[in-house]
Amino acid sequence: MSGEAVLVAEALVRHYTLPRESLFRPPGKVHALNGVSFRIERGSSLGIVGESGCGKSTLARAVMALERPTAGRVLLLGRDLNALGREELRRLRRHFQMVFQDPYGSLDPRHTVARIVTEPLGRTLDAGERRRAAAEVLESVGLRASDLDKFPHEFSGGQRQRIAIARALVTRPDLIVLDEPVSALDVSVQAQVLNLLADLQQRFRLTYMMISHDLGVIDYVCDEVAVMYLGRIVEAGPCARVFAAPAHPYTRALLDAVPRPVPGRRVRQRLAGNVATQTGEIEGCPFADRCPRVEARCRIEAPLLRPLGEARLAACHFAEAVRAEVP
Amino acid sequence: MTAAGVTIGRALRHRSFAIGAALTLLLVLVAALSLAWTPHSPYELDVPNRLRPPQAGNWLGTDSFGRDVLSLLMVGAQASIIVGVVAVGIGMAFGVALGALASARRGWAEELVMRLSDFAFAFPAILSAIMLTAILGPGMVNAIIAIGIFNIPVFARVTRASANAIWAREFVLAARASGKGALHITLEHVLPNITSVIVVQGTIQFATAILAEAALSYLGLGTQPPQPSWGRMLAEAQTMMFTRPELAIFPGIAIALAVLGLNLLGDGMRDLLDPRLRRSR
Repeated sequence: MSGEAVLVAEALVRHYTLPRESLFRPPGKVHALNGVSFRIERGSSLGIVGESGCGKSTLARAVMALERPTAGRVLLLGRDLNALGREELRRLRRHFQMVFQDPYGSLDPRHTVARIVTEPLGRTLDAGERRRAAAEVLESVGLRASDLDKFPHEFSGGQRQRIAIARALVTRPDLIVLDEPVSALDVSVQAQVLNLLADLQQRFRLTYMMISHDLGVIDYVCDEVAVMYLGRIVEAGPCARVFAAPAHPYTRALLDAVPRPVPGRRVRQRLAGNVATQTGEIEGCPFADRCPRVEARCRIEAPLLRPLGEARLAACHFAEAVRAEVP
Repeated sequence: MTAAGVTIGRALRHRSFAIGAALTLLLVLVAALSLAWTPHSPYELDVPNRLRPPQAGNWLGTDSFGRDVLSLLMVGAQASIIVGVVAVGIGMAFGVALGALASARRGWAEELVMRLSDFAFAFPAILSAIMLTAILGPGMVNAIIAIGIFNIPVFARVTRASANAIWAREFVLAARASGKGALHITLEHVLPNITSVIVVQGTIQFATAILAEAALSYLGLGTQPPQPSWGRMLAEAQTMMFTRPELAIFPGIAIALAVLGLNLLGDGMRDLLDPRLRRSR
C-alpha cells in the first residue's frame, strides 16, 4: 500500500431517521452505514459487493457528496468533502464523477447528447471547445460525433450507458464511481460495457469504485473487493484471493450462490433467513443469525475487521478456518 | 421532408389537436378581424331595427338595442382573449415560480406555498373572483386581476407536483453530482421536463378564464358597457329567453366553442409534446 490514495473513507456512518410512528416513542432509525473505512489508490479499482439493502448505494452517495454522512470522513485527493465550502466542493467535483445504474433515468430526455455529456464541465469552456470535448469523449466510448445532436431516446440501453460513461469521462476525473453500471443491461451488452470500462481505465489511468451485486462483474473489472453486510465491510482484499478462498462465511455464501455454467457436484452453502435492514443496535456479530458456523461467542462479541495477511481483511472470529476450507 | 414539415404533418393528423387548433385559430382570427372590420359598429344603436331575426345585412339578427349580434360577438372575442391571456399569464408567472420554489426548497417553503394554495382552494374560484371584484370595483381590469390571482394556486400545485416527480429522477442526481445548484437544476432540468404539463394546464385555465369572464360580465362585475362581452350578451338576452332564444344561443355557442377548442388544443398538445413520441431528425 504505497501508491497515492485517490479516495479514503474513514469510519463512515449514515443513519436515516424513519417517520415517527407514535408520538410517544422516539422515531426509528435505519443504520445504512455502520463505520465503513477503505482507501483506493490511483489507477486501481475497488468493487463493493453485497445484497440489496446493505448500504452500497448510500455509500456511493456519501462518496459523491450527495449526502452528508452522520459521522466519519470522505477524503478525495486528501480533501475532506464535507468540510469544504460550497464553491470549493463545486470546483472539486470535476475530479470525481458517477455513472448511475439506470441509463434510462440518468439522462435528461429533453437534452441533446452534447448537452448531457458536457454538463459536468460547468461553465468553464466556450461553445466550440465544449463541442470538441464532447465529440472526443463520445469517440472514446465507441459512439460517433454525429450522435451529438441526438436525444437519449434514440439510443439503446447499452449506448445510453456509453453516453453516461462519456459524461463521466469528460472532465478527465481522477475517480469514477460506478453504481451497478451494467445491472440494467442485457447480458450480451454487459460484456461490451465492461470491456469498455476496463479499456478506459487502462487508457486514462482511471480509478474506479464499482458497486455491484454481481461477483462476476467485480471480478472482471476490479483489483480489490470489499464485501458489505448490513452497512459494514465484512471482508476485503484482492479479488483473486478473496474469490479463491473467502475468509468470511458471508462471502462464501455469496460465491456459492453464483450460478456456474458447468453443472457438477458441489457443496452449496445456503443461507437461512433474509437480509434485514438494520434498524437498531446489534449485539455480537451482525451475521450471527444467518451464519452456518455460528457459536455462542459470536452472539456476545462482535468480530472486528482484522488483517489476515496477504493484504486481506475479514470480520469473523473464524476467518482462518473459513479460508482454509476447501471450496 | 424537413423536420418542421414532419412535425406539422404529425400535428395535423392528431384529430383533437387539429380541431382544437382550428377553433382556437378561428377565435383569434375573428378577434383580430374585429379590430379592423365588423359588419356594423357594435356601439351603434339602431332602435327601429331592434330584435330582427337573422337575415341578410344582419346575419345573426339584432339585439334589443338594434345592435348587430355578429359584430357584438366578433368584438366580444377580444374581451375573452385579453382576459384569458392576461389572467393565465399572471397565474402562470407567479404559480410556476412558487411551485418550482416549493419543489426545489422543500421544507417550510413548500408547506407555506401549499397551505396558502389550500386556503385559496377552499373557496370556489368564481365566488372568490366575485368577492374580489366587489372589493376592487367592477371592470375588466379588476376582473382580470381577480381571475389571475385565482389561477396562481392552480399553477403552483400542478408545477410542484410534476416538479417533485422530476426532482426524484436520476438525471437530477447526476446534475447535482456535477455541481449544479437548485436554481440551475430547476431552470435546465425541471422546467423543460414539465413544460408540456404547464402548457396543457394553461390552455385549460384559458378556457376557465373565458368562462369566468363571461360569468363576471353576466353578473355585471366584468367588462362594462358599451364594450361588448359574451357574458353580458347572455345577461341581456336573459329577459327575452322565450321570445328570442337565439340572442342567448349565439353567445352561448361562442363561449362553448372557444372553451371546447382550447380544451382540445391542450389535450392534443399534451400528446404531441411528449418527447417519447418526438421523431428523430
